[in-house]
Amino acid sequence: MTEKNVVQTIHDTLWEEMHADDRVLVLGEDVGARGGVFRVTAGFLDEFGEQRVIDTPLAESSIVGVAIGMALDGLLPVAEIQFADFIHPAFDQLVSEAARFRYRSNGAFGVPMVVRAPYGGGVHGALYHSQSIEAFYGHVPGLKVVTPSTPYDTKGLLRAAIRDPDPVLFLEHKKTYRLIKGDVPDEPYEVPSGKADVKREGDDVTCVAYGLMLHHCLEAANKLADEGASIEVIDVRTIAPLDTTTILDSVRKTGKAMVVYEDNRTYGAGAEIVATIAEECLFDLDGPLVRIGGPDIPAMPFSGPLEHFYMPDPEKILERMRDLWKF
Amino acid sequence: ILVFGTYLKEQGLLDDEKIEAIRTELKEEVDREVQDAWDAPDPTPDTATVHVFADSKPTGAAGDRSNEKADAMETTGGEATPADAPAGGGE
Repeated sequence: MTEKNVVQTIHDTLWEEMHADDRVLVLGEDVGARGGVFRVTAGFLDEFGEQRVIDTPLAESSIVGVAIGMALDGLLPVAEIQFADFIHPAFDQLVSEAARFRYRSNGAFGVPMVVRAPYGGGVHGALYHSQSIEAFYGHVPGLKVVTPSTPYDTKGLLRAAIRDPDPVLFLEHKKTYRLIKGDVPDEPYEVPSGKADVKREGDDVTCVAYGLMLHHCLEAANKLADEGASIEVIDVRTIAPLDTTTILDSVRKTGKAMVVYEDNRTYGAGAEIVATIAEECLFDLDGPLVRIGGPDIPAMPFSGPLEHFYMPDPEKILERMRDLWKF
Repeated sequence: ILVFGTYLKEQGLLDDEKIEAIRTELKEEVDREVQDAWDAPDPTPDTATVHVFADSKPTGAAGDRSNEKADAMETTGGEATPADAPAGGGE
């Protein structure tokens, strides 16, 4: 067991996976000589060579398109989109090609590909380095969308993603990269996609979140415990396919539910979670469903006060959590 | 830019001295604008939702399809300049 932060965990897991299987390779902008803008692939070029550590042009559609071709031809590519904000040119490749390949070929061809993308704000990254993109892709059957929040889950989910026979969009909240540390087993293990995790047990309110918001919710829940509240915090971990069983079981126990996400509130992943709870648990509820999301503005502003306005934080979450608990 | 600069030099329209003068002028302008931005007061949070669509205030920014500018030009006889547009109305 070793204590690591999230970015070190990604580095080490990729390193181990590339040593374990010659078919695994990485490609993306600056992943080679630069070692990645977040240093995720630092040292990879020297260790594995330019055939398996491929610097690409600034062309996200090509990065994903090439990765799809590699996957179809028997390789296990891990493509990096430098910032999730840049993934939009690759939307067609992900949605029209990667997600549909197995279905349209009647099961004959799969695309065992991982696309990693740092997402999320609160890092003073402004409009083009702060976006949340999970809702766009969570909507698409055939794609798995994974959002680990802890180093432990990051290793297990990444290892599972590389071994997944289907395409996985692996979303890493960039503010967790160096902020969140935790114990990571040295031996290999997998955390299967599609399984949520109860990160904090409680009886009064169910709080559902992922990414950076998971940590904000845990902080708020711990503060509210001082006032006597027992808050259960669920880490979604996988946006699609969503583990509705874990979420609904918790809501049936507590009778109250809130969902917190950083993406624009309207049509966000939290909207789907709230809708599922409303459909399945109406008569178990003892309070209104609460949905906290980012405001419906086109992007995260650069200015400090405006970025603060955008981001849900522990204080804002605590206030709504307390209201729901006392309802 | 490098190719075009080389072409202009080959045509005798520019030399290294003029290129350096242009570089210096532009750098000073960029530095000045950046400093002005840092020196400006922080916006208030209530402005975060402005300019999502054209119905946000203030009007007159680029993309505005009202006739306010045209009306102003008619009454003053002057020309609308970029300075008429409020901050943030750039293209």
